[in-house]
Amino acid sequence: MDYFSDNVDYQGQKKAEVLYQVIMIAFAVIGTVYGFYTQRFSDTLIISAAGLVVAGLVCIPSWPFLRKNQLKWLNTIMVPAEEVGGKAPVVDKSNVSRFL
Amino acid sequence: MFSWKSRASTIGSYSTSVLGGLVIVLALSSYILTPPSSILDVTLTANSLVKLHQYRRVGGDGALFYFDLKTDLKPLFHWNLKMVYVYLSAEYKTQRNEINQVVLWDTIVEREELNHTRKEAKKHGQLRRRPIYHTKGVLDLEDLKCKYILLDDGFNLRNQNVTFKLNWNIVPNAGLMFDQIHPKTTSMVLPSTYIKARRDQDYSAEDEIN
Repeated sequence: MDYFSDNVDYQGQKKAEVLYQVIMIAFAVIGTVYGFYTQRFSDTLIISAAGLVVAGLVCIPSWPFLRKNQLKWLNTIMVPAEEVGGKAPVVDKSNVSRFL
Repeated sequence: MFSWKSRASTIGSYSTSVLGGLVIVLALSSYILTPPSSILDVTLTANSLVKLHQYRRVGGDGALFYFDLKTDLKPLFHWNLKMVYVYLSAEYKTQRNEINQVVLWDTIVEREELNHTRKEAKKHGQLRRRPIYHTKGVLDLEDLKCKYILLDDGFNLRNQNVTFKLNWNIVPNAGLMFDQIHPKTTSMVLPSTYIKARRDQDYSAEDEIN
């Protein structure tokens, strides 16, 4: 499974959004506390950058835990040709919107 | 948030918001961390007045002082303080102006320099940029000639009572810049006649013009 080509479903998107916000804010808070303790802002920035990396690792690739609730598409229905007048249905594209 | 690219873009822009929040916390923290000015131990004496002279071209009296200053600036420094601009000011009152404040000497003490001895400062090339008057945040200056002459905007310095104050300007990494004055001040009454330069190094070319 390629983690960068398959896409994530809706429940997974919600999980990913919550996860990256919580991870980054948690690391930022820990970073400010530690930076205040050592009185060096560079410590705060390093810990917050680590939070960014962790959030990226958890949320960016399409992990399986983000793809658990796939949408259930309806199955294709096969109809015998006699019921639709013996011919295959014709798709009329004359009034399809130009934007599609 | 459907594809990995949009998730990466969203996380990247969120990180700038987080950074902004961190900087705001940094700026607000300096209000808690700034001590009152009296926390420093300052010893300031105005050693001698060596020259009181009329600078007629400029239109005023000028006085040149030598002073002693001993203080330790380390209690001021916290994580948001970038540097402190320390200056010695002289205050006096004339008939023309209610308050005259003149800067006689100044220096900059940066946070990175707090950990350097004088040798290391030389190695880092810091002494080439400007003279450094402190060692690891401690100012121990004896008989130092003031950088600037106390120049009045009139000829009112004779018999003048001058107060010397040590001030510093706090320059943060994020937040507001402000001044602090140390409560310990010294005063000196200037003589009633003009004095010529007493030490050889005080003699300047301007005296020849006047």
